[in-house]
Amino acid sequence: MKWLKAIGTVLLAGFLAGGAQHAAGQSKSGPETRTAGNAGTGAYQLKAQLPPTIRKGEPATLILHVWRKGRPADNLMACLAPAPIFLSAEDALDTTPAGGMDLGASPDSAAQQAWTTALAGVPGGPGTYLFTWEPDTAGRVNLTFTAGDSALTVAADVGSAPPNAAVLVLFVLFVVTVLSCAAYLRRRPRPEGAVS
Amino acid sequence: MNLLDIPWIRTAVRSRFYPSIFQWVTTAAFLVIVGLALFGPNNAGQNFGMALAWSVWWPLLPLSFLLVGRFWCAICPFSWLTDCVQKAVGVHLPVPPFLRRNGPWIIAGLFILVTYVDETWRLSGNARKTGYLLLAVLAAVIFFSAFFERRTFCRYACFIGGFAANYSRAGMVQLRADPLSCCDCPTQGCYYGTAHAPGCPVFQVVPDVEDSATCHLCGNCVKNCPRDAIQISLRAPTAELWSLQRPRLPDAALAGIVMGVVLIEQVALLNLWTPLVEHTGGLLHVDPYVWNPLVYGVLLAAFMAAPLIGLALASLISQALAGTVRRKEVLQNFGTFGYAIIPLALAGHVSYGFYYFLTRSRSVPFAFLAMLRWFPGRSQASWLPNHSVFRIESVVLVLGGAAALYVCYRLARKQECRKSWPVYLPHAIFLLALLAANLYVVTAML
Repeated sequence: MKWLKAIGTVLLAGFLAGGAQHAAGQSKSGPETRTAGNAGTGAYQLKAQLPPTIRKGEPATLILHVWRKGRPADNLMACLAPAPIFLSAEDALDTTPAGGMDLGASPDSAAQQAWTTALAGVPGGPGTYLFTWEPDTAGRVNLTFTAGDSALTVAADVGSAPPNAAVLVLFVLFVVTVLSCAAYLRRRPRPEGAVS
Repeated sequence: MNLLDIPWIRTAVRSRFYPSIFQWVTTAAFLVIVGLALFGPNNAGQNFGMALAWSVWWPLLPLSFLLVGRFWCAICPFSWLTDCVQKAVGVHLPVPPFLRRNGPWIIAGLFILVTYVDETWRLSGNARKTGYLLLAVLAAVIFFSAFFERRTFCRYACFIGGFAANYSRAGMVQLRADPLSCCDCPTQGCYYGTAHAPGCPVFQVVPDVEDSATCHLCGNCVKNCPRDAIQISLRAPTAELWSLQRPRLPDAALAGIVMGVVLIEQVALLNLWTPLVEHTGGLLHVDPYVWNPLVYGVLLAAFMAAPLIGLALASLISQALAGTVRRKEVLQNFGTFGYAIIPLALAGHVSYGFYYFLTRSRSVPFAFLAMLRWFPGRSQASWLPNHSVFRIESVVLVLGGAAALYVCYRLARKQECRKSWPVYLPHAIFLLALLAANLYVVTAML
């Protein structure tokens, strides 16, 4: 039995380490942003700044820079979308109707209506700034930014928010407290009438 | 037929690796599910653990109670965890009297609470929330295991324990002891344990067992019995329901509640749901979307109350036709004929489980591949087209309805030999109405 316990312990440790590494990787990639290309057509040049991984359920900051003839248009080019962009469309890659068990991206993705919203904090200017997203077959979303007749599409990986650290800490504290109390009580004489 | 007369089954059950070997598998699966729920993709369809839990395990669980009783409880990862915690730090305090007295009601309350949280918090579609639920249950299991003796949590506080008990009563497997062999047993090893195995984890003295509601089929009593008096046998499904000596009110109430829960879960998938929610919001004078937890709570209460009210009315009319309308008799009638709902509730649950399993479990391998960042094209979640699933569901429901009517008939015959038909008819009409409601919901889902 000892070897079984040893294997179990190693597996559990590996599993927990893997999970922790995964969580650490997720939290590490947060603040980084990347910049993606200029739109070659249309009156405006667009450049988008977005995190490498957009996490569902978490706020994401997407910055869209708009230039015209090499100069910032309307002197207001940084557009922020600080809202949790997948709050209302929780499963960005869901390709089945609401309530269904989704399968992730598939060729049927095109049939799904893209979710469109105006970028927060964008006044008038050169046109209506929009971004739309749709899943592709590699598990990413394609974000399309539109300003006037110019459009820029950037693919972004979609990840998930890590679990709430407070819940995990609370769980660990609870378990440690319970086990410690039980271990302490076990060493004391048993109460009258206790049955094992 | 005693299954323990078959040599390989007898050897397997008496083996010290039974049921541990199954527990290791389920514990490994549980760890994977918890790990993926907490750290994997939040998208349920791309999370292998979520797909495994919600489209395979949960839908097939009610069917397992019908086929093999509470065998799942014997191999549940929590039973293994309980044993480990108790070996390490267990204080083994006796079960508090409050739990002993109110166990069935506590279990029913927890089942309702989990159902409510599942719908209002959308647990099954969200990996993290599922993970938090599993952590909460895990914490409760560790608490009960650390302080109380045997499997107090499984017996008195597990939220699936209520319907597991009822469905196992209707199940095809039973464990009993030969009372003649047991009457002068010197050891009572089935309860107290021996060097071979611990005593019954769910506080059963096997010769006193008269139903299959509690036994987990863990095999401890088989290992401990010095006279080989234990028998595990197959029986006709539902046969136990009309042979119970002491029907209990909580079981009857829980049968009605489960029926209501199964119905509301299915109605929530219909187009009918939105107007129902909006209408309820209107009645309560609240915005149904802002106050969704309240509106859902009211609807859940209504759906759970409906079968209970129906049963109460049927009991009242039944007693009136039998000529004795006294509170005690009506309550007794309610408690007795509530057991007739169990086959129909089980059929509704199994049929709903089939719907989930047949239309979603094909996603399991794709979810596994998605975890590896591989998204094969043309993936489908469903094994069968909807109309085939509908046929299967209808057959299950009709079989459940027929079984419920038969159980009701047997109960009526047992109750009032001379007036069995007047006693039977109101309950039969009520059961037919429940069957019609279930069939309507399944048809509407098509």
